[in-house]
Amino acid sequence: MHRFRNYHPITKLAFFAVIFAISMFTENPAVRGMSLVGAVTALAAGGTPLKRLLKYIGGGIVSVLLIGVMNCFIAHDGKTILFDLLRRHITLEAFYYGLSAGVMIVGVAMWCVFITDETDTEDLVMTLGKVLPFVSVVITVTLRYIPEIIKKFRETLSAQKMLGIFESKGYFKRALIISKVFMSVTERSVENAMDMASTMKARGYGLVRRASARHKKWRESDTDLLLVTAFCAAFIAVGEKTGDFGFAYYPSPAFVKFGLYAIPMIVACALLFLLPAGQVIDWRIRWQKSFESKA
Amino acid sequence: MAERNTLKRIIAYLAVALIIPAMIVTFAVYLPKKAFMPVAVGIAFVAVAAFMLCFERGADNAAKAVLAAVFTALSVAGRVLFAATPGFKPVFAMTIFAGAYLGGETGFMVGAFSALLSNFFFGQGGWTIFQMFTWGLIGLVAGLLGPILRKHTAILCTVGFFAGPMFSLVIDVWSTVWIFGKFSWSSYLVTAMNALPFTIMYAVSNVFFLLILARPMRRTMNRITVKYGLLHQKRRLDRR
Amino acid sequence: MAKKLRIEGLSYRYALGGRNVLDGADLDVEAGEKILLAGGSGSGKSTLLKVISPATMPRGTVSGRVLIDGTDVNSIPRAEIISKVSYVAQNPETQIVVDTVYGELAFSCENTGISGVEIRRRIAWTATYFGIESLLKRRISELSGGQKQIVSLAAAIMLKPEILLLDEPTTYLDPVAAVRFLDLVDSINRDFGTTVIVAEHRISEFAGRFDRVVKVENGKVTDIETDFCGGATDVFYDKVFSLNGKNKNESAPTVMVRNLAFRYDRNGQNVLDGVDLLIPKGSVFALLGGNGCGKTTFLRCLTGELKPQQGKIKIDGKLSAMTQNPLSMFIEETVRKDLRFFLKRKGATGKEADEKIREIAKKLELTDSVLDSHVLDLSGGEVERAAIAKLILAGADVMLFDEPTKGLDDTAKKRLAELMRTLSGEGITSVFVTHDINFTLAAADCAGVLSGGTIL
Repeated sequence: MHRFRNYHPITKLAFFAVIFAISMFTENPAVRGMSLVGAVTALAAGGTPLKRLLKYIGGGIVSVLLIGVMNCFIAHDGKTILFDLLRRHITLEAFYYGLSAGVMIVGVAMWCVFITDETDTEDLVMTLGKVLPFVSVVITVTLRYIPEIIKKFRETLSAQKMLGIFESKGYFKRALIISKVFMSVTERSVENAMDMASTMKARGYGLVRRASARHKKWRESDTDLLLVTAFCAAFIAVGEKTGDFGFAYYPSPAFVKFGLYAIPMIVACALLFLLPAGQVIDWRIRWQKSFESKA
Repeated sequence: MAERNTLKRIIAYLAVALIIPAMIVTFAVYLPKKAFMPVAVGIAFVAVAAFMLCFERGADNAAKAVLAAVFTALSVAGRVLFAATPGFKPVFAMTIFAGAYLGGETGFMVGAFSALLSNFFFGQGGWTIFQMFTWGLIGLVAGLLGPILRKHTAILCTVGFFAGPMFSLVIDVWSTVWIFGKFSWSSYLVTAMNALPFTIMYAVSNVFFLLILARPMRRTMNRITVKYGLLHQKRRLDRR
Repeated sequence: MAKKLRIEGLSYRYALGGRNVLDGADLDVEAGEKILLAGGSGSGKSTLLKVISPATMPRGTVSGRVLIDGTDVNSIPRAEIISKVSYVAQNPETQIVVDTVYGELAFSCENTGISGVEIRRRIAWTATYFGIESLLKRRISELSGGQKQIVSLAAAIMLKPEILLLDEPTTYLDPVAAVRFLDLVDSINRDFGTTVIVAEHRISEFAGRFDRVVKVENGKVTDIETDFCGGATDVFYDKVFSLNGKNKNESAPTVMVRNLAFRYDRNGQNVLDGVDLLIPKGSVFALLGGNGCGKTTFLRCLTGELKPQQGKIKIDGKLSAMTQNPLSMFIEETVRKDLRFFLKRKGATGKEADEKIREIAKKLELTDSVLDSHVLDLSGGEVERAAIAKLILAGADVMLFDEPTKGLDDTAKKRLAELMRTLSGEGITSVFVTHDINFTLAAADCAGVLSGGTIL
């Protein structure tokens, strides 16, 4: 449904790798913040239900505070001493550092949610199919089995419930039944696998190196996104190197230097982090227009 | 001749299984954060890729491919089915079984792909590659100890018990660096303490599943060996 | 000119089986011929199909020759034989390898190293031919049994085979899906000139579609004449109608359903719309009806799995439902162990359990070898009977079955029908949903049809 989903798996991989790298390697709270904002807007634009989004945000705030507090007990640098614990300083700066780290972690976690929404197993099979054709078969067969196994397990367990031997008489007895069910499903699946192996052989599996029919076209938009990503990444990398947008937490949090190079770096970050959200919004507008034109 | 080859393999695998985690820990201690992350991701990625390449050579054997798929599917399905009980999952058990019965490389694949595929349900992230790598290692080690694990349930359970903490400890190195920016033993301790309930749960559930499934699994593998004539392929399966 | 397929003095014995399943079988098949392969279960018709191509041959000893276009199959390279002969196994669960329909269609071609572009082109054409474009992106787990079987057939055609071998393709299909499937086979035969051999035990219904019917018996293949033809179903329906409504005037029914209504969606349509039903104690009740008419929904309401929005269900006694796959009833390796475990969990001592198992085994004709073999080694009919034994031990007064004859051969069906009749004599009521008219006639003493949301 989303625009982002339609990119080539390699493009997606490269984009997210860059997003991850930047979010994780910078210590600059501004960049970390932008990453978090980008992830949240991307999720919001992507149509994440409000309730789920609020839950993420709530959980995010709690985690940020928690990591902030945790860091106080680990780092003891900084000049503003709040109090002493076990002959160690508990400092405000350490708390700030923790908050900033929390923002980064929550940001990355949100990006992960976005990635999980925007990729599926088909991406994996398509990418691997070219390089490791046999491994990709193992994956597709696995994907074929997963729903079968879940179905068999549920059917078997509900049959035992119906027969009345699952009435809760202690956790261990229930766990025993569950594991017996799991085992019988395992046995059936393994046996089934041997039959499947013979059909695979009969259908020519393993005769020659496999071709791969599941693929995605590389489109101009993929090249475009890759170029943009590469440029932004280069700008940000150079910016980090020059230290024009450097930030230090200790002894007190402040920008070390705010040089000329900070501006392109901020622009590059904003562009990169807001790109997915922008793409989705753009796609939504077109979608809307296309329907209006029909009506 | 075959004997010596096996010995060589065991040495090679042991080297991989011991040196790589050791390297990661060492890097975590001595490298600054900015260098640690790419190096650790790089190592994990190269290791996973190397094993995939090894496996690719053997996966043209249909029986081997499907069995690897079934074990992976069982552990992913298990992770989905037991979603209600955090940490209590048959993933380790299935990976260890796969290693013990199908060989180290297959074990590695089963572990690695269990992580990769189940994360499509539970959320992909930076941790995926480390999870793949660590679960893979567990499968690999199980493969090395295959002949013993197949025979002695007690040793099987012991390996399962220690696999839980081993997984947690390796993953915690990475989370420490990620969360606290640099590695220090005190921050590592905090992370490990936070993950302790999970670590205990892993160890307990591993022992539980291994203990209960060991005998039926042995029976099942024997059954298909007899019924489908895997017997004469057994050595090939092991070797690859 | 050489025959398309020639089987000369073919004998075959499974690696673990004692006797020769095939014993000097001969068969000549012309190009473009369409042959029905008849024979009871265990007669070796599946084996014959599998032994034709070395690619599908199971482990065992073989003698005799198989020639395709005059060439011995063993001298044809493996890659070539795979694209010449396509074999479709009976059970789509093991026949379908890949997770999506698209991947499944591509699978064989990918194996033979045909280029990706060519495969995609073939998929497009095949999907259009079979009318399954809308399924291409779907996952296999979302398909119905009929759709799975059609996907299997389409995947078998992808390599443009000259000979197509289908092993009991309609076993898991209802009559409508079976006819649709065989129509597709007919058009493949007609349009591509593909030689087709179908193993099937429902000869009477399908013989008219084939050029020739041959029978596998005692390891040999013989031509048989069939005078079966369609049209007999009228008589069947008459008989079924006579079963209908026999349950109306019953004072003390076991199952009583009054004005039952159910819908899945708040704003959807009623799937069940005012069902009234009385089932007398100790009867065998058959519920018929087309696909998607709500039979399974009705059963799930009876078991309490679904909560109906309206109406009343009263059941006198304990109701137990058989799972769709009877194997799911068992969680131990053998039937005896499973029943023992089950009875012990129910509070019986070991001795009592053994006694009960002996009793029930005697009643349901479960031999010791059935009780002590691994459940996965039992035939479909044996598993079904053992599962019924478990239901009875669980104290079932009413047993529900969803398509109990799926995957069973004729003998097993007959035994199942007899069993239901025997149990009905002891006051155990059976209720089953089916498409199988023959089975209904053999087993049921009353029947109803679910149509338009009500049972008539």
